[in-house]
Amino acid sequence: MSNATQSQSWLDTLLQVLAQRSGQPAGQRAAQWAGARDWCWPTPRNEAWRFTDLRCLTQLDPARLHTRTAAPPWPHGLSQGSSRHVALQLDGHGHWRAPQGETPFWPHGLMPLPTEETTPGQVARTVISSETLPLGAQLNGVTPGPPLALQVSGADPVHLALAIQMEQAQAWLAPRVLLVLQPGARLCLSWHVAATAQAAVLPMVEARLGTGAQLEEAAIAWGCPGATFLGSSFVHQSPRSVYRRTNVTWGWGLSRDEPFIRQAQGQAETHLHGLAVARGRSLLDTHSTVFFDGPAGQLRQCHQALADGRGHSVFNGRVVVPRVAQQTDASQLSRNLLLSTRARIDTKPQLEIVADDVQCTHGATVSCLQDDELFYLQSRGIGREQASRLLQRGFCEDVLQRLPWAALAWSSLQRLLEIPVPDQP
Amino acid sequence: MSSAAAVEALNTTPYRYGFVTDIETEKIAKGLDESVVRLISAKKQEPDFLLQFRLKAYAQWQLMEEPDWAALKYPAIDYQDIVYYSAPRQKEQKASLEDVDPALLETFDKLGIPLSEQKRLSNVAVDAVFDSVSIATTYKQKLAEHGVVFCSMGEAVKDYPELVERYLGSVVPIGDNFFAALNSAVFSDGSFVYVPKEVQCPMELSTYFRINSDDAGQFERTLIVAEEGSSVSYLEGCTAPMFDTNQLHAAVVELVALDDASIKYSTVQNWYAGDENGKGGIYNFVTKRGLCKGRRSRISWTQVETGSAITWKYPGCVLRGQDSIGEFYSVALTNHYQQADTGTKMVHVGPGSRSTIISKGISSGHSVNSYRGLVNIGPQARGARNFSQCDSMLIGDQAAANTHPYIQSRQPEATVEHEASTCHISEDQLFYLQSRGIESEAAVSMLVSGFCRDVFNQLPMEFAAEADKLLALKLEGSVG
Amino acid sequence: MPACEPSPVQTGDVLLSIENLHAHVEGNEILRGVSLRIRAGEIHALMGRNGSGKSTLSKVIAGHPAYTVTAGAIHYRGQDLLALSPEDRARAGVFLGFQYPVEIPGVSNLEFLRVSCNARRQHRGQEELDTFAFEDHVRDTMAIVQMNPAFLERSVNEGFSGGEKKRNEILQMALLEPLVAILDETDSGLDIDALRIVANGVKTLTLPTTATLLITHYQRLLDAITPDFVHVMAEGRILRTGDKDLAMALEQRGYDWIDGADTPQP
Repeated sequence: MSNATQSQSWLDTLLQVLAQRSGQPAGQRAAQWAGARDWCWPTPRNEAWRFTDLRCLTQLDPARLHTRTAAPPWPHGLSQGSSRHVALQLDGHGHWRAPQGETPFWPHGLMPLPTEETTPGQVARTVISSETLPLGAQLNGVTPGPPLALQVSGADPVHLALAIQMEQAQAWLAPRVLLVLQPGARLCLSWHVAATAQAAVLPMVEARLGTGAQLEEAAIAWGCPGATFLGSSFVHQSPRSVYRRTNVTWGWGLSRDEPFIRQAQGQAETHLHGLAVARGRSLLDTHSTVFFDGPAGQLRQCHQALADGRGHSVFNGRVVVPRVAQQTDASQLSRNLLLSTRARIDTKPQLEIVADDVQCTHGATVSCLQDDELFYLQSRGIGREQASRLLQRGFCEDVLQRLPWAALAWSSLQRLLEIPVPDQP
Repeated sequence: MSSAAAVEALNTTPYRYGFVTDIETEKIAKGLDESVVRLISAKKQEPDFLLQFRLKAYAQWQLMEEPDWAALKYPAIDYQDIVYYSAPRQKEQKASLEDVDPALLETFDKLGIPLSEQKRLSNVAVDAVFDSVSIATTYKQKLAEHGVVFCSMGEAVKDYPELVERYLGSVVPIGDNFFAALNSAVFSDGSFVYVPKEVQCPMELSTYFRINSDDAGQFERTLIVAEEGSSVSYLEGCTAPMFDTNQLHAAVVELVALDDASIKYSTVQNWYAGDENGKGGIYNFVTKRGLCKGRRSRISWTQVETGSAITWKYPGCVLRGQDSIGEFYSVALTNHYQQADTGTKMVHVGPGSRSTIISKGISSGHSVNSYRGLVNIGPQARGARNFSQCDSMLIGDQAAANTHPYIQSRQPEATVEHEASTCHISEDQLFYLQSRGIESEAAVSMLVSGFCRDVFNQLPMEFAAEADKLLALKLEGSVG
Repeated sequence: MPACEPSPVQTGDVLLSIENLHAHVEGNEILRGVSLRIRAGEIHALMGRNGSGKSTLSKVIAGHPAYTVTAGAIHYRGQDLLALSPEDRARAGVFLGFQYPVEIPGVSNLEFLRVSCNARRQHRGQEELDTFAFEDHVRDTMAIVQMNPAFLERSVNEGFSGGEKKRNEILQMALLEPLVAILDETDSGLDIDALRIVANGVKTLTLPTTATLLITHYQRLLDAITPDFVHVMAEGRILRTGDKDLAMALEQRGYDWIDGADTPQP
């Protein structure tokens, strides 16, 4: 049996299993917004999946999938709610609960949206109107479960901390988050997603930012070999809104992160900073797309990846600047450290421009640690190996320093930072 | 005047090389099947190895699909509606220039490529190819004194079959891609260059391609082999008449550089690009690749692309030799409804191999200009280095500039750096030049050629000024 | 545009005449009725605060496309200057030395200077200079501003320091031999030595048959070049005209006493 047929039969079984789950009939949901007939399992012939093998995902057994989660190891002080802060974790039934298990107490400025006002994919469709949804979003769409739909209002920032902990093999979680930021509203959102077993998590985030609204998103996602992360997010920005996203990923057998951002009328700010640390046999893939649909929009993007061992990092950053987007100012940088002969970096920054009065730049570098930097440290008495570790840590710190306290407090991150520094010879 | 208005104010000057030569040609019927492949081979009285090469390629081509990944839009090409063999009728053996049809000599005269003894360019040897058939090669004798072979592919097959058999298809394999397979099955003629060991070719070599027919496809094949320690600089130029139909051009160029050899391949491409409404023009699907086979070998591609309706072209280097060097310098200018998807492939195999990519894309009118480039660092390429710079200039708000660099590395002790930027002709720059008495059209072309300076500097001196002029000419009539 | 000059200029001829000029940029009215007459042999200084409209006036005279003239007129030697393209103004002999000369990557300074100089020569019915003749000419001319010939090989203004850019402007002035030269803050950002060189250059190039309009903030340029007239601009108009003493008074007392109602006039 060929790989393609194997994947297709895996998908068919999966769809059958999911259809039997409680919640809305999956068949209807699928047809509704993922377009059931569009199912096309990606193959390496497909440009967007050339380097990304989905075997880690298809090694899960559809018949044994469940939604059980574990209690996240909340850092001290983060799990307590307050008048401006709420912490939520995903329970075993797909519901978001406060860490003590009760229904959340919503701080001022945060209000759950009535279910009848939320349709899955309502923002996604406005962000990528003409294109098919990414695989992660499609699979999320056919997995039954309640969404977390919130409206944010007020100029005082509200903090929302979300955590998902997976410790049992064959967990299959597809959380959906919808955020509607009223004009001028401010939300600080932090994510902590962790998997210590062969499981899959497929979060999908939709956010609509009103005029002048600000969304600061910090995401930490770490897994283990055999665990899969398929994330998709869709952000729709109104003029003068600001979206900042900082994400840090490591450890997954397979991670595919696909943020789509549309500056609907330009004149907004988007800041994307990513760090992917691919060690062992980890395959970490980021495919980002930013559309400018109006003038004077701004993008600052920097994706940093480190590949060691047999790790493989893939980055594809697409920036689309049509004629209406004059005075766009976009810069994108892909910085990569390749540290082992069995590791791999594939990067492709892409610019698509039809406007003459724009400032767009992109850059990409792939190298190992710089000799002159190593030498500088060595000349100060630091052993080469230790110097190398210090520089790797410095490379990561560039991104980590952008994380807010709510993200930095997680001990998992400390583990990433504790890049073992061997004793000097 | 604003920059947009300045560009708009430029007049359309007609394409200068758009005439058709009225000459009797020998053509076979339209369409392609195995018998056509055999017929082409028979007409050229080819040895069996070449017939087998063609048949194998044809068989592969039939199994292949036309690539669709490039940012190009064009109606489906009907491969059965093309004439695969067309040649000007002339005496079988052309012993000297006197035997060449005067109409052909006159054609090349008009194109600014005089072939006759008295008028020919000094220090440039020219192989003139008319509808894919080589009609004359100048300075053959002088080159032969140095052991340099410069002749048509047809002659090379007869006179140097062992070299052709050894190297043909060694860089671009028969089944490399759809268009290369098609070319391998039906290629007509082209140029062959062989530079023996330690010989520095004493003059510029140049092939001038002229398309004349409106329904014949053009399938040249060029092969350049530089033996150890040798060097050669080669220039290709092209023009075609104006037809309101499209002509397919699917050439293959293979370069082989052995230890310490160096090949510099320059192209000034000025095929007919179609009219201002996008009607007519050449579909240019070309595979060009150099193999840096030897240590310290060096292959340098310089291209000035101005004139196809569609350009699909990625001249690349396979850097197999240790410390070998690959270079790609490109200016691609598109205007009206032209579409270009062009760039390079630098495949680093050998340790210490280095490559440099400088690409300047200029899009104006309603054109689409895409840079697509691959830098691949293989696991053995310790110490490899690449530097790429891809700049786009946009003129007017209807033109598109895309950049698609593919960077793939599997070697930690290698360094890849890529930079890309976009710019436009700023109002202030234009005003500054105007305020010094330089008229707006001249100011625009001055700014554009300034943008391309790094690439023009790489062209052989004889052609750098020509490229500058060509660019200015092509920019005229670009819509703001 | 005829390709030759009208009859030669005599000292005292009106070269530039500006009447009730109004102009705006991006919807903001910057010039609100400027009138000014400049004759051959005169040196004028135009002073005023930032934003008073000095630079705008210079750009409008040179024909910058971003500015729209809504009323008034500019005549150059009796001819409607506003009807001419920027290049035709330059060819006719109107020169603007920019406050911030742009950098033009890739375009060789030498080639730029040659094309520009020849455009002006052609207009005056003079023979165009070929590459070699021009290079000799430009090297001689560079001595006026003590500029290193190495700058000829570089791209136009690219990577030049502030002082080098200004010298390059004066070099262009010397090559184009304008009848009216407007120098927009040519003195700003220069150290003492550079200022002296630039001032000497301007003095050398000022003839009884040409006129100069110096736009400046500071007295120090006017210490080196004595103006015949000093104009003070505010809010898009020329508020006051005097001689070199007016500039001196401004230096001592600031602009407030000119446009401020609270201070009595001297």
